[in-house]
Parts: sequence; structure tokens; C-alpha cells
Amino acid sequence: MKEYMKTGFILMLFIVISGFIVSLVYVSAKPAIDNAELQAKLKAIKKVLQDSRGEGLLIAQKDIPTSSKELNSAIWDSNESGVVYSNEKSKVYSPVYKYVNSKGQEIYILTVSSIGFGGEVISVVSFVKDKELYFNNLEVISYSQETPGLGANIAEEKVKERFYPISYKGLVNGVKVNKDAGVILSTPEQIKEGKEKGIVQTSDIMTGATITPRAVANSINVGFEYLKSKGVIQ
Amino acid sequence: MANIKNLKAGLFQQNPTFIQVLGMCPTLATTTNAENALGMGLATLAVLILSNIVVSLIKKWVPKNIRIPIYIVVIASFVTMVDLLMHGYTYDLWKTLGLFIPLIVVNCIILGRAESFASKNSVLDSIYDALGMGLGFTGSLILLGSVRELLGNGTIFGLPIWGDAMKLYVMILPPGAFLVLGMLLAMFNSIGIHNRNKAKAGEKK
Repeated sequence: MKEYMKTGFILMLFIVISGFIVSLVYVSAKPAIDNAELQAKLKAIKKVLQDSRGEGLLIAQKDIPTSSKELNSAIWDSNESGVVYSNEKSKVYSPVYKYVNSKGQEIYILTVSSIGFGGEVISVVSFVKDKELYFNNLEVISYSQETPGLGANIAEEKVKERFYPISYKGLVNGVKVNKDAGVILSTPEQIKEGKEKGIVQTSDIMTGATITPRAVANSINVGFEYLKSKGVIQ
Repeated sequence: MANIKNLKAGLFQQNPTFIQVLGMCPTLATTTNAENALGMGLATLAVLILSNIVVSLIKKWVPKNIRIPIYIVVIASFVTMVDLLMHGYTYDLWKTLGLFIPLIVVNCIILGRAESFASKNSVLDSIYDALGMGLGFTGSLILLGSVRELLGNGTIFGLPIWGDAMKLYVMILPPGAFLVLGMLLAMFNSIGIHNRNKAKAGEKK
């Protein structure tokens, strides 16, 4: 009995010491972790605030959030569960941000996800309500489970550019990749026209990978559904 | 001299991946490209060195019957620390490696070296052993990752080698990991057999 107690005490001692050291490392690394998460978010938000139909940014440079306080002041919708809207394929995460620029355009920034080849593909997306709502820009922030060289190419700028801008008509039709639409758009004009109809040409630049771009298309669709449910589109 | 021997053993004669065939889960899963392989290798190397040092330091106070749980506690603590530090300071790499960082806890190379070497040797010897094994593991991962990335994507560390001229997508998919690993295992074993035969022939003379 005494031997068991001694052994248990030694094991407990090692666990307590290890736990204490890990907690010290956690406390010292926590500010860096929070900062890394925030910087990644701010970078993605700045990217989606770029005007895909024109030049530059949708809001003034001074209004681009650079701290968590500035970012929080733009929260438009949030809830404690962390998900503000979902359907069977995709989710919209809390919080949702809204900016209004000097032209009176409303800019909605959403964090959306859908299931890709290996797991969730998470993107930050922006919709702009001008005369009509349109899909403005996108940044894929989490795709680590997608296959490198195939699905992971979704993070390449030339691929992301294929997804925006998408007009209101295209959003109403539902965004889909060209393979699902059964078409191949080969010229820049056709690719641009495709986006008007909600068709995104990806099969030429993401050969062999359909599931990941389809996940991004579904993410855009769930964002549109969410804004519709919130009455942004009458 | 013995320390250098320990170091070289881990790198070549007792290479954990190609000779001992240990740590196959991260080897197969994270070598889709050279960068991931390097990140995983360095994270494992750091944990291996730190755990070997601590296991060697505490060996006198560890009762024999609970040594494995204590080694696991030590290794898990270092893995958690590495995970937290990578999260804070190498965010992109941390996101890419994802689940595989916590899985270093169950990497049999680390527990294997703690049990078979660090618990019986001095701190300095244990550091050299960890360096040899860790660098051997990292090198193997980089080699595997580079071959898979080159054959599957035409690049190494993202740098174009032959571009789109040849892309065997299967190489970056799970079957490609087994194919490339099998070929490299065969190659290393063939070199080993050749060297042993050469040594035997030398002895006979």
C-alpha cells in the first residue's frame, strides 16, 4: 500500500511540475497567439475590402481596422454559439462585420465555411450592397486539409480571382463551378460573362480538384442566403 | 568521439525512418511537400532534444514501474509548449501542420529514444543522440517531401523545377506517400546491403 502511495505521489509530482511549466509557457505565449490570430484576421479583412469592380479599397485607408477594438466596432451581427447561419453544407460564423463607405455602399464581411476534400475550407468574404448586392472579394484562410498541389491551390491569387466579382443575378442563380454547370469557359470574356451568371471557371487552373472550389462556391452561396435571411436584400 | 558516433548513427546507420521504419504516421501524412516536411521534422527535433535532456536528468528519480507514464508526461508537455509557441510565432506553418503537431506525443521515435537511450545515458550523450535521430528524421522527411513535391507538382520548396512539364498527382496523394517511401526504403536498404557486403569482403582479405 505504502509503495502504491509513493508511486502515485511521484507521478502526481511530475504531472504538477509539467502542468506548471506548460501553464507558464501558455501565459507567455498567449499575447503572441492572440496577436497572430488577429493579424491573420485583419489581413484577410483588408484583402476583402479591396474593390474588385474598381481600383483600391472600398473604404478609406484610415478606416481599415488595425486593432481588435477597431474591428469590434464594426460588428453587425454576432451570437454566442459562434455560428450565425448554417445549411446542410456550409456555415456563417459569428461575428459579421459591416462598413458603410462615403458613397453610401454597405459592405458586409462574413467568415464562411464549407466542407472540402479533407475538411472545412474557411474563407472571409465581402458582399457590397450598391444599387444591387454583389459578391466583391474573397480570402481563403483555412485549407490545411486540402491536398497540396491540387485542392490547396485554392489559396493562389489567380484561382481566387476567378470567384469575384459575382453579380446579383449570379448570386440568385447560385454560384457553381463550371464542372457542375456543365460548361467550359475558355476566353477572358466568357469567364467574365460566366461570373454574371454565377458560373466560376476553375477546371483549367485547378485541374483534378473540383471539391475544394465547390466548397468555396457553397460558402459564397451560404453568405448570400444569410444576408437574404437578415433582410439585406428585399 | 562516441558522441559523434551517436550523431552519425541516427543520421545514417540507424536512420529512424529508412532503417528502423519508425514514426510512419507523420512520415506518410506530412510529406505532401518539402516545406511541411521541414516544419514537422524541426518540431519533432525540438521535442526530441528537450525530452531526451529531461529524461536523462530525471532518470535517477523515476521509479522503473512508472517510467513510461512519466516519459509520456514529459513528452506531452514539450509538445504542448512547441504547439503553443508555433501558434504564436510561426502561425502559417502551425495552421498547415494542424493536427500533426499534437500527434508528436505519440511519435514512437521520441518515446523510443527516451526509453532506450536517454534513460540510460548522460545528458550530453542524450543530446547528441537526439540530434542524430532528429536530424535523421528531419532529413528523411525532407527527402520524401521533396521527391513527392517534385514528382507531383514540379516544384521543391515551392520553387519551380520543371514546372508543368510533368505532374504525377498521385505522388502527392496518400498512395504516392507509400510508393515513394517504398522506393526510398529499397534504395537505402540496397546501399546498406552493398556496404555490409563490401565490409565483409574487406575482412576476408
